[in-house]
Amino acid sequence: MPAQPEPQLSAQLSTTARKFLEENTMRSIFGIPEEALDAVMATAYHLYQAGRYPEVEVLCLGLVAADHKYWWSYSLYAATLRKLGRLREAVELVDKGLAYEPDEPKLLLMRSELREEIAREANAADKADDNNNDSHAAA
Amino acid sequence: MGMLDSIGNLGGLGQITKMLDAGNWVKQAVNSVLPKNMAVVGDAAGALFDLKTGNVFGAAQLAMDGLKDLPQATKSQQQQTKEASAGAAQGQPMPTNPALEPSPPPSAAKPLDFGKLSELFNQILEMLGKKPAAPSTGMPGALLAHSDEIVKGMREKAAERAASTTTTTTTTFTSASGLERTNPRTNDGVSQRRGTDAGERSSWVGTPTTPAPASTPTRTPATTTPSSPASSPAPAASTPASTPAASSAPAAPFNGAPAAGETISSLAQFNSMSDSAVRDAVIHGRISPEIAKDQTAMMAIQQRMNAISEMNNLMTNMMRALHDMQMAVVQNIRI
Repeated sequence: MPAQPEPQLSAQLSTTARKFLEENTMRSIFGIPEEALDAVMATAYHLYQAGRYPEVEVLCLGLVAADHKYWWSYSLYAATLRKLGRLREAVELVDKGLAYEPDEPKLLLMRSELREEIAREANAADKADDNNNDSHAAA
Repeated sequence: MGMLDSIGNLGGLGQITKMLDAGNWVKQAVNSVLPKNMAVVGDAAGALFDLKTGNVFGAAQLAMDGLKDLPQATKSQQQQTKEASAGAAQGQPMPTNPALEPSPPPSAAKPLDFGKLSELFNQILEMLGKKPAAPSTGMPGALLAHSDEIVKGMREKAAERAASTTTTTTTTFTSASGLERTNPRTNDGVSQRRGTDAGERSSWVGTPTTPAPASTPTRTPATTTPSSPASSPAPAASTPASTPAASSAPAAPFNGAPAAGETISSLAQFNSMSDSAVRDAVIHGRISPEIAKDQTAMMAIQQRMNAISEMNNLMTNMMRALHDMQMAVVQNIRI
């Protein structure tokens, strides 16, 4: 039977522990130096520019885990997910980042653009469905 | 194989220490994740880990590696910019939307900051030397300024290692003239800088110029004539104890500042000798027969010489890396 560590772990965490983890980043708890995160961010950005999105996703997961309050990790992660075609996940991620930094202009811009893109895709899909239906009806 | 021959053969020792170095494992782990041109990140991570765990040797080694990898990282930045433009030209699954493109990381918006990285390595070396650097000093100057402290720390470690090691050595010193033929290293900054305090060109020809310890007073010649030893050896040998110099120059306690041309006559004295004095004594064969017969003492001397050689290599590598870095900057400016 496969183990399910995440639900067990979340069940084990008390409200106080969750609150503590929400308020404190792993970076501050483990004393990760800023230089180390800067280096990882630079690497992730270079990988993004080189088009190596799966690797960027892994690094972004690490960056968000290390400092879940920092907007830049969310922006890069969302851009990567968009490149991978996962627009809805990207919007969710941007929303999560905006929860910590609500006035961040880049995240706000990304959210509006992503929503527009999702809407455009939905419209295009609707139109395609309509065309299919028309062609079937004509047939 | 002589002791001096073994100094140049540190490759095997380096491999073993690397295998045992936890920081090196950290470096490899980080490097396995990151691209090759970002090896400097792994070096820095390994150096920091070694520093935290108290392995100053490993930290220094990895810091040197990091300095070596710095030019590669800068070169790769230019290449990656070209690759990025090439990647865009090849076409991507999603259309490019400038609003959705991530901005460069805020702290790394500018290209690799040599100053900060150099500062980081400088800080590591400062911590190794336990001596704060003057803010106005340049990188090479600061490094050289800390070399004394680093060497001191390495000497202590080497003495500890010599005490605990079980390796057997077959080093023998047959004659001083054979050792004199060995060309001392002159291309390292440390030895050049320290060449003045130990009598690099002393005129010693086989007779110790300093008085021996109190336990062997009769073996020490009373007067020394280093300027003309071959022309008048007989008077000094014939009147060893009758001259007033013999009574006025007893075996004085060692005061921590060894004079030039000192002979290694006891382990305690050897431990308090400066690196230059030890090197000078070994090069010129000024080792008393008691010490030469004592295997433990010879191992301690060998460890000390290894440490000196290792430090010289480290400093040379560091200066070479700094030079390469400066040259890379100059080349970038020219491009």
